[in-house]
Amino acid sequence: MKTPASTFCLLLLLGACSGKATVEFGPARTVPKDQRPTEWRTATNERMHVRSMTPATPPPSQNAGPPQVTANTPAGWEDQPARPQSFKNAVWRVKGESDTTCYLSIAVGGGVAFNMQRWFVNQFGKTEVPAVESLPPVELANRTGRLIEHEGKFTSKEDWGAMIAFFNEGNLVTSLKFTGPKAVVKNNKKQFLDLAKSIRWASASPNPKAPPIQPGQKMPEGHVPVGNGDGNGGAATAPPPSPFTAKAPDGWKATGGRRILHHTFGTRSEVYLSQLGGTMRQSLDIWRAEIGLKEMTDAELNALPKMLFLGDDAVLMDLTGKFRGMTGIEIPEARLLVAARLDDGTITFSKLVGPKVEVDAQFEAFKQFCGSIRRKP
Amino acid sequence: MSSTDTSAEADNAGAASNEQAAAKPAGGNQPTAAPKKPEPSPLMRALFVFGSMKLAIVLLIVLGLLTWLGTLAQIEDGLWKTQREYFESWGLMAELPLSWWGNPIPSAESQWVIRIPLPGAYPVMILLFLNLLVGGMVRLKWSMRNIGVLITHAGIGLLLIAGFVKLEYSYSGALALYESPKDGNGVSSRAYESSRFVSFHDYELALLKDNGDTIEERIVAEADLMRARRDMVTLRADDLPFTIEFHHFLENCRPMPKGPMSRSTTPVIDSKDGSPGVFLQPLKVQTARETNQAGAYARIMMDGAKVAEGILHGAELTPRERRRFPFTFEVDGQRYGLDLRKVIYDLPFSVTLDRFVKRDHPGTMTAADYRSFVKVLDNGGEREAQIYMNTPLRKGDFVVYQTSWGPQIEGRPAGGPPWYSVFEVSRNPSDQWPMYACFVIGIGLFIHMLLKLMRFMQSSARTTLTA
Repeated sequence: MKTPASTFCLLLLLGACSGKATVEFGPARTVPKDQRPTEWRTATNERMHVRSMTPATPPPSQNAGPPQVTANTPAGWEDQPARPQSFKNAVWRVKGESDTTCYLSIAVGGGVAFNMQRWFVNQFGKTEVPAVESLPPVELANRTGRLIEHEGKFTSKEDWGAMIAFFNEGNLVTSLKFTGPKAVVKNNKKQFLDLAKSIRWASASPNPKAPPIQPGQKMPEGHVPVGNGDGNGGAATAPPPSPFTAKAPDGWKATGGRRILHHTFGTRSEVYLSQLGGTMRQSLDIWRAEIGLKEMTDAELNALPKMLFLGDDAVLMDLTGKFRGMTGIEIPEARLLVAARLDDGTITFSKLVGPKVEVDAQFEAFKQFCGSIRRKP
Repeated sequence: MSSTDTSAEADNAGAASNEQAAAKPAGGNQPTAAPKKPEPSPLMRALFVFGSMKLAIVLLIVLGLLTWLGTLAQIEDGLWKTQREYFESWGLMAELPLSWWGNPIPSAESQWVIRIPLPGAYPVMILLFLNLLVGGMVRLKWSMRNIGVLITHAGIGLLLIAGFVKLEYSYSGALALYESPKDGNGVSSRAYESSRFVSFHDYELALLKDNGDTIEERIVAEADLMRARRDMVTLRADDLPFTIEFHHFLENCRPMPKGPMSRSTTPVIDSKDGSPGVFLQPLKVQTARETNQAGAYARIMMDGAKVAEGILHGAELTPRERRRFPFTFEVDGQRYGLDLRKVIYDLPFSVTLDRFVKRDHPGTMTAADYRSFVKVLDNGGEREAQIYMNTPLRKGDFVVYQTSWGPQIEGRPAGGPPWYSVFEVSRNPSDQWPMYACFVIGIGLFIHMLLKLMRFMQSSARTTLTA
């Protein structure tokens, strides 16, 4: 049989249109190394500037396994198998409603801004993410967090409902997320809030049925600090591992509290690192209020000096006066130093407060400390 | 424009009469038939067509139409895409959304759109150039009377040639520098000195071989990678011991950590050792092309086996982060890197920013003037220069323009962060040609007006004498 030429051409064209193609590299050229500043052997997430979503590694004292979660399962709800490898440390659902799910994710990385973006934009299909402070407060695992309520589209589902209670410890976000058909979620709001309030967790215990550790409860000698008595609630959670590293100056003493890179020196001076949502101005005004100062003007904001922090420029706020902290601590003649920078909607700051005499002596040390702070890959 | 001047048309009598003769039907009422003029050759016919004023007018109307429709299209499609489609292509289907006094017809939801097939501005301008050449310079009588018109046509021709050379042979990009620290203590990641600039739009894939003090670099252009949007592209070179399978090329994407609720339609990389891994999340390709960040996956293959696999992401090269973070791998003890990046152009000199100065309008934070005090270093030594609006730095074939600065949020009061200044660097062999063309056109018009004036005065004098 004779094959028409057009068929042959068509086959050739089809062959050219699909499958693999081979491309030759251009000729090699040599350039000086300083003209191509290159970081070799960098981990994928580091070179992509992507924060790891790996669940927090438990501290050495709690290497026994994933946290053991206890909670009062609401009436009409049922427990489901936990899947810690999928960041679901505990799972529930409404009885008879197989489309519903409610799960707890403890200390997942990424920060508040990233997770809010994920929830609102990727899952709810919204174009904007609200400010964290605009969300109503909620109690989750004996901590004050924020509550997100959503109705409508959820991933590819229509008429869906979602409730998310969350709080963050620095870059680590703990959330309780309840999704399902809109009407079911709406009717189970009270149960969801009760569940959020009742949740506690600890490292693997010899007795999984043991009651949750209460804030302020006396612990055996040598036990890791619980609650820390800092007014932060303090359920039976161990301090999360710090996502930052720093070189502490001589004479500073690291403390085992819940705060990140928490150090003390002198009589009552303390330094720590933390993260917040909101705007830089709001945060700075909150710290000014601790010294009894009013909100800052544009000129004052613009006139703030900069210093090296987290490897780049950060605002330095330096205030002197009577300090009255939110936890009730008072220092009559205090000096407050805050280095803060805004990245991807999250304010990361290092705060030093103490008697003025002590802080004056450690000002340079604070600058060096801030300059040495880096994110862990 | 071609033969826009009526007197030039009149002067072009010889060629015009030929045209009329060719157009006139044979025969007539003449009792004695004049010797029949020979039919013009096909070449002459082509010349008549190319040199006709009608063609010039049609081309100018089409150019006007392209400019109008292109401007409308730019609202939706952005500058880069519109420029490509309307002004640098050979043809296009232009779209005209119908509206009446700003009100869409029949409604905003279902606005009618007229589709008009048009040639791109590129062939139109080539034709205009030919029209100008033939009509204005070949068909026009070369005499002293027409010298001004001829010079003017030459100037317009030069203007069009300058546009062609710019389109075909020029390139441009951005260069950003921080103010050099006075005390010499800079932040290592910041760019204080640079002898390279980066394309605004175009990507390239660079294979880097670490040779210690130098880096051996091989490039594949973006056009050769586009096929990897759907298929696999194998990259190779005769003297490389491996091949690279390049796939999942995304014109706009962002790297994402794989989380419990993040679904990926692309491969997840580095998901071993308990880490959930990283993947590229495709994003809508933006019409403002410079905002897109391309990404892709690469698999290193040797003797049919996979040696390594990684993600490439064309994150921007900023003054804040001068280093690149390529996907690196080792083959036979040799370290290589693969970097998907905006095209890097090397300069034959380097620039440092000594000082950046910004002056605001009183009572506002809007810049009234901003300028950079730079130092240019090359083998010939060092020189200082100021770069500011409409006053670029020219060196060799390169022009450095002041375009922007930063950080624009939080300003820079005393003791604040250092400024960085952003320049556009352009290499355009025809950079000054439009200016020369304008001089030529101006001289041509001046001579023509002068000759006309002289002729007018002579004719007036003759009339007076006759009277």
